[in-house]
Amino acid sequence: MEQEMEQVKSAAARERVRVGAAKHVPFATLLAAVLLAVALCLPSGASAVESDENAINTQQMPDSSFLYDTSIYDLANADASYDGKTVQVTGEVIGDAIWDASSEGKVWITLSSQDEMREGALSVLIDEGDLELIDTYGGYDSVGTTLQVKGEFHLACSVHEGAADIHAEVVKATAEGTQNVEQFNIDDFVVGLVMLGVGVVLTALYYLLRERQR
Amino acid sequence: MWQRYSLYDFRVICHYLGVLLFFTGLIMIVPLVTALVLGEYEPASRYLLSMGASVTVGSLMRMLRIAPGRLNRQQAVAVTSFAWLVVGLFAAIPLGLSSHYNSPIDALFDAVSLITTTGVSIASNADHMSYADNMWRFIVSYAGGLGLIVVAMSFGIFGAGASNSSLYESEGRSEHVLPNVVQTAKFILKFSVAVVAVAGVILGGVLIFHGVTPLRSFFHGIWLAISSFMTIGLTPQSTSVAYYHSSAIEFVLMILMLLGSINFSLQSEALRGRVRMLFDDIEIHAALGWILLILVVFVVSMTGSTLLDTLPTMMRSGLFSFLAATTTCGLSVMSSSQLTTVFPSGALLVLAIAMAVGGSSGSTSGGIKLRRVAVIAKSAFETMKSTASPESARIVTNYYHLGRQRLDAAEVKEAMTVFILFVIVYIVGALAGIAFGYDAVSAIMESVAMASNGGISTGITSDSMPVLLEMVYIGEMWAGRLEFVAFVAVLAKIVASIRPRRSWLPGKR
Repeated sequence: MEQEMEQVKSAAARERVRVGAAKHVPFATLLAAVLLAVALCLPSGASAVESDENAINTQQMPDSSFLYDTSIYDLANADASYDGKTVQVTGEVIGDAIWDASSEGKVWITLSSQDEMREGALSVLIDEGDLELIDTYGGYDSVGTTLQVKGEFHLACSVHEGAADIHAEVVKATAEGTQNVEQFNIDDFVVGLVMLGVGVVLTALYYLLRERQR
Repeated sequence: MWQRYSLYDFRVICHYLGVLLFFTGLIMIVPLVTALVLGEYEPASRYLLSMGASVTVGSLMRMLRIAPGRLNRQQAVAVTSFAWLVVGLFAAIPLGLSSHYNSPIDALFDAVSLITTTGVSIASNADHMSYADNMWRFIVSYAGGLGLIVVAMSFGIFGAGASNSSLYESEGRSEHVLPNVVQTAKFILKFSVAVVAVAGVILGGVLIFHGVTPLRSFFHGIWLAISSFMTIGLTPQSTSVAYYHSSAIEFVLMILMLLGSINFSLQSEALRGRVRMLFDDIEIHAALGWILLILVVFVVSMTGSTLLDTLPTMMRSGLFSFLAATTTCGLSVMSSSQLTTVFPSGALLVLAIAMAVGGSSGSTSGGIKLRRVAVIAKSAFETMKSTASPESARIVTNYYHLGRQRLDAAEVKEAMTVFILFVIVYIVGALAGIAFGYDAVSAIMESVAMASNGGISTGITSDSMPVLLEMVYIGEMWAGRLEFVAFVAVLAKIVASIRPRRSWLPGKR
């Protein structure tokens, strides 16, 4: 009987606490809500721009359009980390423009590194219209047009059977090419002519000695 | 005991080397005229000077022995062995005087690479090279592919005193296409000129179709034809065959590489209507079996590549590279960097093994040669058969190579000797590369490329490589072209000649 009385008293005490707490809950909630409202209304230290630029878009896919501003030497010696990346390189157009038989309106050019200590060359696939940007092709007696090319780099292009290439998206000419015309200067040939003359004389002497021995 | 060279031998050898140098100088008229016609005056002055130097030194050497008489075998072997180095030295002069080489050693490396048809180049700024310099590089490598002695005999340069087979055989040629050695040499020259001319026209036409200017199409067509048929592997542009982006050009080049790697004697017989000799030949059988086996291994190893993952890509890049290695041509549709990045290491080693074995004897290919591998295999089979047979049994092995041949001990000994020497040099060259800090697979591949004159480089060969390694590779290219036996024999004789005689030493009378 006494035990039952104790249990009832405990339950009543717990009920009083609960009711008390319940009585206090609305007040606590109200106080928290007021404090929160006040906090939200206070001016922030950051100068937030009222636009969508800083909004987080949770639907955004991983960004693979990061641009690698790199060199032809680095791409010519690239490993797989550059494969499929958008790159930007600058180089001299050398050799020829070669029509791509498998792609209408596309042309292959070769860009050469302009750094003498870091040589390399790379094939670039451009649109036929971009050929107008090229005024000179580099060779023995010419320095080709300097082009800046932005495009996707392939270490072993699956479209072009394993070629290392850049599929250009943007092509800009940054410097014109130059043609060097060599002038004939007889002074450059004097030593060679003298040497050849000595050789001819010695040859004649040899045949003369051979005839005498017979 | 090694017989010594006498002073008379030295003078005779110098005389014939002088003859070669003299005519090397005369051939320089081709790049000289090319330069003058195209307005390349700086190269023209270099070729004039080099021409003068070759003619002068060649004449002086000829005068060491005015009337040399007939060459004996020892003298012939020495002439052949040193012809490659001496002609290479003077061929390097116009290249070394240009701005494309950092040092005389670099120019010598390139010249030896050209003349031995290895085809690896360390020229800098190669895409701005003159037509004259390119013309010279391809002429030198064309002569090297035919064989300097073959060229000399074809033109009768050595005269009647040297019309013997010793010179011809010392250059690694053991078969006569025609009964007379000189006639054989002339046939090889004419045949190659015809093939290069026809192929040059075809390749030039394809280039014009792709929009290349007629002048450049003409030169590139001829140069590519020479490079592929002579299994040299050199191209006028630094990006090799990948420059052209043309499956048609690659197809023609593959045909030419295969043609160049087939024995000239067999091709001669096929041209005369005896096609059966081609199909019965032991080397053709060995080639088919070997290529099939190594191709299967290569394809399986290539499946490990994550980048060459489509069949057309594997076919075009992989097959071309495989054929270039098997024929020791060395033309490439992939850069050195791509080879080490895109190709699995297993595929690289397969290419190295393909280069190590090489093509047919009596062709322009390098390597150990299929005939030797076939002879060793036949000998091994004969030994096993003999072991399994009764004591009284007499085992005779025959094979078909330009007629029915019996496998004899001397032939097996020669094949084994050359095989072992090649393998030793491959290993020594690889160890040299590893000692200089290069990756092991790359070092092995590079060493094999040099000694087999295959020329597929993984990038170790460059203008920044150590000078000592450069000289090791020069030695490998030179010795590999001579197939070692003549080279080692001459070196041994020279050492014996300069060592003091035992009777000269005090207390040794």
